[in-house]
Amino acid sequence: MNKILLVDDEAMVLDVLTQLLEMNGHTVTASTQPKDVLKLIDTIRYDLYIFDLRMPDLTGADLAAYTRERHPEARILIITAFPGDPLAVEALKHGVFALVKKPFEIGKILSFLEPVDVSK
Amino acid sequence: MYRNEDFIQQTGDLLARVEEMNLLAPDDLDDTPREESIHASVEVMVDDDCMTAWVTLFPARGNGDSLTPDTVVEELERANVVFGIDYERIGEGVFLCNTEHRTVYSIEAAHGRPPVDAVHEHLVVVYSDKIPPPKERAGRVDHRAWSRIPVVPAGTILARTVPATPGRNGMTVTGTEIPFRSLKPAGVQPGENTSRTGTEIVAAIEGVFSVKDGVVAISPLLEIKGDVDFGTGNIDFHGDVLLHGRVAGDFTIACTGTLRSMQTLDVYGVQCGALECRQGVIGHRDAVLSADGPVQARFLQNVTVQAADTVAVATSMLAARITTAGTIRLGRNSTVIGSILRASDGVEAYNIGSPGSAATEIYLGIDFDIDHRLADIRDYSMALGKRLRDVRLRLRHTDNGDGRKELQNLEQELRNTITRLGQQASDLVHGLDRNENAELVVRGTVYTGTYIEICHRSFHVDRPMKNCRIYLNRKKGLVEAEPLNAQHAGRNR
Repeated sequence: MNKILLVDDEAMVLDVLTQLLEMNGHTVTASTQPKDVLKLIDTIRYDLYIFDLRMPDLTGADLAAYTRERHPEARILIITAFPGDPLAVEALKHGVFALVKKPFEIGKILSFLEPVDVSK
Repeated sequence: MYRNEDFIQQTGDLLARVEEMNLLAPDDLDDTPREESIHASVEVMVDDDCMTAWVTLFPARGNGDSLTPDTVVEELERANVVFGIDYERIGEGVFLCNTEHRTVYSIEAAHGRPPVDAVHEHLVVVYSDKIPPPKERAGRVDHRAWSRIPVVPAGTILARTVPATPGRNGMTVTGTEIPFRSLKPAGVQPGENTSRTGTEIVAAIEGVFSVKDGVVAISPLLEIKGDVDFGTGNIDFHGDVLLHGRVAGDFTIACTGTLRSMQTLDVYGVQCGALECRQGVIGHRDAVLSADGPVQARFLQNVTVQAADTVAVATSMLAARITTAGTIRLGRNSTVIGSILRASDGVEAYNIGSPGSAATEIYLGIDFDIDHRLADIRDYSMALGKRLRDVRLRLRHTDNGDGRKELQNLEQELRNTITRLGQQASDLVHGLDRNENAELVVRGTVYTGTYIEICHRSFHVDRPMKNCRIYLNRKKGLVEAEPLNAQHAGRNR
C-alpha cells in the first residue's frame, strides 16, 4: 500500500483524513506543523503528498516546491478553499497534480492512490 | 195633482179590509221566509290536453238531494272522463260539500298518466374537477401548495354507463292512449388516454381532464396559458407542461415530462423530465432546477442546474452552477462568466471568462453522483471526527472506572463507524473517474483564471487561449492544452 505524507494545520481534518486513508490500507504520516516535515521530505520518499495551502510559517505551495526539488516524480495534492487562489495557481506551477477542495475530497484523494492504467 | 187626504183614506181602507179577513199571524209563528229546495250538483271541467279533470261541487238546498261520490263519478263519465279518477279526493270533496253546505271548487278529480320515454344506454360524466384545499395544522391552508389545476390520477372514473330504460305509453283522463318516445341521449364517448372497463370510462394516464364534442379525454400535456401563481398553485404534473407565462415568487413546478417555457423561467424549485426554455432561466436564492433529461435555454443566470443529459445554452451563463451527467454545449459567440460547470462528458464552449471577470471552474470526466455520495461520506466522517476528538478529550480527564470504560466503548464505536465510511468511500472511488476522454473544447477564447479539472487533474489557465482543446494526457497523468484540430474546428456550430 501507499505511504502518504499529510500536512494540515487543522487537527480534526488531519485526524479524520488519516483514519479514512489508514482504513484503506495506506500508511499515513500526519503533521500539523509544516516545518516539522521538511526533514521527512528530505529523507523519505512518499507515494502521495497532501498539503494544506494556507498554513502558518510555510504554505502548501512552499512545501510543494520543496518536495518537487527533491522528488521530481512526486504526486502532490494541495488542499484549498478556492481553486483560483493565487497561491494554488503557483502550486500548480510547481507540478501539483490537483487541487483538493476544503475540508477534503476523499474521492479525489483516493483516486490518486489507485493504480494508474496507462493502457486505456 | 197628488192629494194627501186621498192617500190617507186609501190606507185606512186597506187596513180595515185586512183585519176583516183575520189574516193577522199569532205571535209564536216563525216569520222566516221558507227556502227553495235545490238538489246538489256537479260541474266538470277537462283540461285542454285531457290530462286533468276538475269538478266543482255545489251543495243541496232545502230538501234537495245531497251528493254522493257515485253521483260525481257519473258526472265525470258523462263528460267522458274514465281514466285516473281520484276516488279519495272526490270522497273528501263530497263530504265537505254535504256537511258544510258550501261549494267546493276545482277538485282535481282525475289525472291522466304521462308517457315514459324509452332511453337508450348512454355514458354520463361523473368526474368532478372541483379541488378542495389541502388542510394544514390549525386549519391553515398553504395556498401555494393548493393546486387549482384539475389533474386526474390514472385510474380515476370519468364517466359511468346509465342503463337503458323501457318506455311506457301514457293515457288521458278521457281514455286516449299517448304513445311513448324512444330517446337516444348524446352521452359521452371515451377518447384519448382513457379506457373502458365494463360500465365505466377511466383515465388511462395521469393528465388533464376534458370533454369536447362529447368525447372524454385525458391530455398528457398541461398547458398553462398565464402565470404560475396563486391562480394555479404549485404545479405537480405527470406529463408535459407548456408554460406561456412566468413563475411568481416561491411557486414550484414539478413534471415528469418536458417543461416548455415560452418566457424567461424563474426557478424557485423546478423538477422536470427535460427543459426547453425559449428565453433564459433565472435562479432565485438556493433554488435548484433538476432535470432527468436534457436542458435547453437561451441563457442561464444565477441558477443551480442538475441534469442527467446535455445542457445546451445559446448565449450566456452568468453565475450558474451546472452539473450534468452528459455534455455542456454553448452556442456561437456565447460567454461563460463566474460559473461552475461540472460535466461528465465534457464542455463545448465559445468564450469562457473575460478580462477581469469572475473566474469559472470546470470539472470534467467524473461521475458526479458518486462524487456527491463521497462528499456525504466526507461530511459524516468530519462530524464523527469532531465527536471523536471530544470523547478523547474527556477520556484524558476521566479516571472513574465505569465512566472511562463507557467513553472507551464510545471512542471505539466512533472509530469503527469512520472506518466503515472509509470502506464505503473506497468502494465508491473505483467508479469516480468515469470518462477520461472528457475534454473542454473552446472555439472562442478561454481567459486567465479559469480553473479546469479533468478526472481530478488540475489545470489553471494562466494566459488567454483561443481555439483550443484542453484534455487529459493519460500517459502523463496531466491536463494539457493544444490548438483545435481540423476535426474539432469542423464541428464549429
